[in-house]
Amino acid sequence: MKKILFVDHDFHKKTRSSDFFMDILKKRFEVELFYLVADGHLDLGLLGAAENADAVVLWQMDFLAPVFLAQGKPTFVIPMYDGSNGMPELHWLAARGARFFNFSLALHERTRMLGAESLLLRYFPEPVDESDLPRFDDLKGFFWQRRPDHGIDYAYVDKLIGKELDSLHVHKVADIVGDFTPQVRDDVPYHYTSSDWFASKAEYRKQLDKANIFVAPRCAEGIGMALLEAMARGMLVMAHDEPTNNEYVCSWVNGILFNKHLPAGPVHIRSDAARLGRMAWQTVVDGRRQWVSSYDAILDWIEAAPDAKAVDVDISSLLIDVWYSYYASLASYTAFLHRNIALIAKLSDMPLSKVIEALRLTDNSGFQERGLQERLLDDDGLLDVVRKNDKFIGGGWSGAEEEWRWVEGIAADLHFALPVPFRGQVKCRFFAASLPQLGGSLHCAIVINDVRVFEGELTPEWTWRDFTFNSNVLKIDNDLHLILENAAAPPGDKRILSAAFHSFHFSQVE
Amino acid sequence: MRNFQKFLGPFFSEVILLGCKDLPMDIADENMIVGRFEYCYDDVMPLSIDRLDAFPATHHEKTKAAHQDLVAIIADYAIGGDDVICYPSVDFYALLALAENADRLVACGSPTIMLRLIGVMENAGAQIFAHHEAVVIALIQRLRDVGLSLKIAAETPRYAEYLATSLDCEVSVAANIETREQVPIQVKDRFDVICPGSARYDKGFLQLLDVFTQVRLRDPELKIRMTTQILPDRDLKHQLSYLTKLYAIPGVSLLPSKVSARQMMTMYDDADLVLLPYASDVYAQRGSAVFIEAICVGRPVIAYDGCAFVDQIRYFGGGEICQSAEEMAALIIEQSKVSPKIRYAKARQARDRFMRDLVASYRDWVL
Repeated sequence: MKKILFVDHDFHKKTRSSDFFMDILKKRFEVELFYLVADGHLDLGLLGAAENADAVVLWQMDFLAPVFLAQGKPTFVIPMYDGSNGMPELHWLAARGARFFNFSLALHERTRMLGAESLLLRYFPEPVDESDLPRFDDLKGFFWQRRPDHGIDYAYVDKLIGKELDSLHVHKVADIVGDFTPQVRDDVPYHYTSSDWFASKAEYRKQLDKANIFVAPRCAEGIGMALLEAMARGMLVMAHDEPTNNEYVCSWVNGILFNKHLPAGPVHIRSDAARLGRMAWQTVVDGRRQWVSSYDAILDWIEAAPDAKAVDVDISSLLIDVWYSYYASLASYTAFLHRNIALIAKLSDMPLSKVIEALRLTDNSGFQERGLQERLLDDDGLLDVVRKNDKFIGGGWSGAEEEWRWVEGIAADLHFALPVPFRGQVKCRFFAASLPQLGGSLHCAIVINDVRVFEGELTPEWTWRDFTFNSNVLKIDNDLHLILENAAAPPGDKRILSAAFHSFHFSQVE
Repeated sequence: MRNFQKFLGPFFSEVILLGCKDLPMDIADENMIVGRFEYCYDDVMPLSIDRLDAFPATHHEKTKAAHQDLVAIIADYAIGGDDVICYPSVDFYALLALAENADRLVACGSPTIMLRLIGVMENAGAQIFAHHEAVVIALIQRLRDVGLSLKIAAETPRYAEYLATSLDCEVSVAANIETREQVPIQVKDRFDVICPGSARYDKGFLQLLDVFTQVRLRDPELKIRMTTQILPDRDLKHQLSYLTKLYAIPGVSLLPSKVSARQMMTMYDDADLVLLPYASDVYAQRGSAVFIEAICVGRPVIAYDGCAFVDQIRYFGGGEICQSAEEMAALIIEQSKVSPKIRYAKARQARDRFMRDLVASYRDWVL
């Protein structure tokens, strides 16, 4: 029987959230567990344990993959979207020689497109019996205010569905330190209850039993166990539109997705709640069957993995270096990756030149070299994107044509500096059109200095759009980020385009 | 190529299959195809292979390569008046080389030229011209002007009619050849809808979210299952948000943009219905290989009106036509309620008529 070293965060000893996967591995392999204390003391015994194992499985700790690959061990990485999505390209290239089990479609596609082998998995818990499904005569909400700092807090939930609820229970224990006590108005139309402590998981479930609406507490998830458990109970689930929430929830089909960046609700759920709850349960019934039938594929994939190509490197030093760099800061970890590009090339079996190309994806140095003076808006506040000298143009744009400039792909950047600061409200008027092949409308969002200032539809007809925003969003030097929903190649054109823009005009609202 | 050999072979004493030089060796050997000409379309339809020398990239390089290939073929095979050069789906640079060498062809005895046009390859390089359709017509006309015997076929009746009026001559209809036998429809408790073939924008990939969502809303018990291939990576990276939405619909399965021939066969075998939400402007003259595969294995299709192959769906009774995503969803629900026995009988009738027509149409093209 092959021996697998399963490396995991020690806090999963308490949450047991990796147990379900370990149980699958135990069906065919001898599994040795090795817990590491995140951000804590590094136990170098890890290397000896790996030496004695036939393969290494990393639950979440994707950054350790290069160590075991360099040892020549077949290495399996199970990254989580919430923890790893923000990692730079080099992070993934460093683990490219591993096999990935991805519970997120977004991560699956990202790793697959970088040339890694990835098996997309979709976990579903055991659904309740049909006879135990909740009724929806009353709407009874449950919300665990885990990350109020991320914008999903009691106040948000109240605005979102408060007017629809008959009761709401808030579990007030946040994952972070701080006073986030909900400020509950006297005139809320629902019966409000709260808790600060659950003695056991059973107590949590007992509280959940009393509800039929579940608001997912976190913006993004690795798997989304709590959300899935709620779906398995036939509750109406509501979650922020980001993986993995939006990979399980099809909005208004088996739940509701909201966007926490937009003003909250109100969302009218009363007439759809029972239908959505049942569909959520049906999704889990079907999904569970498929999940269970995927066990063999998981085990076969591990069984069939070849040894990694060992690299002649001081493994202990590498482990120490990556561990402390990773937990120091993202900048420190990125620096680690940069100084190990040659090693990453060897581990990923890619030419060095290809690995270096990954750095270009985030390289904006050409723009940075330009001075503020060169990207000042005209006195009349005009930002003209067809101007030939490209003074405002960042990444994502095609070359300027006579009357417009296309966004290549789904995102583009503009950079501009203000000659004179604005006060109060600022109006922005822009002239744009969507690619006709994308249909009658194309969703567009505009983010200035990380603040979403516009959300709306563009049409194939050239149209002026207006929006206003607070001047405190603007700085002397500004980044404007355009995000379009889709892109396509027009007939006879090899470019992938989404929308064309002519100009943006900023003015003071009097 | 083997299918064309099978259909055209009986009319000739020998058929030699010539393919492009970059055809993988195993495929070439298995099908006895001789690699003879340059691939001129790597810039628009990449072959995903590394070559030490670059593919012809500019119009000039492609023109030159196609010219040299034709001249070499004429010489090496000692082409004469008794021979036939057949292009099962003629491409632009091959057509250009034929037109440029029209006098040379006459000088070597005027072999018969069989051209089959599918509305894709003959336009792939002609896009550099303002009126590319006119260029294609002019090149064919050049071959007629020198007195060469031309036998022209088009993939769809509608395209044949366009060519016939543009060239003022008879044009045969020669659909894509598919020879699979009809596969029994499985009796099962689910109804499988598939969108096979490389998913592309012009094949309606961006329509699927609407269609699938509406089906799911009307079929909450998940009886109907929907499977599609996804876009190739170069397009997919711009559609990840859309892909996530498709993935989240209960009862939807996503397959890679490329699947093996075996997987493709299995997909048809397991299917009850095939969706063709193709763009009617892009497919205004064009046929659909997926439709031909579907009608041969005995699976009904649902397509948007306006595409050229819709004429064939209507004529042979190969499926249903609709005007919108909403209508497509309604037709899927409707089809899911038809008994497998009825669906099989209808499919058998459509297939039988189509196959008789297919055999006759190739005979018509040759003779």
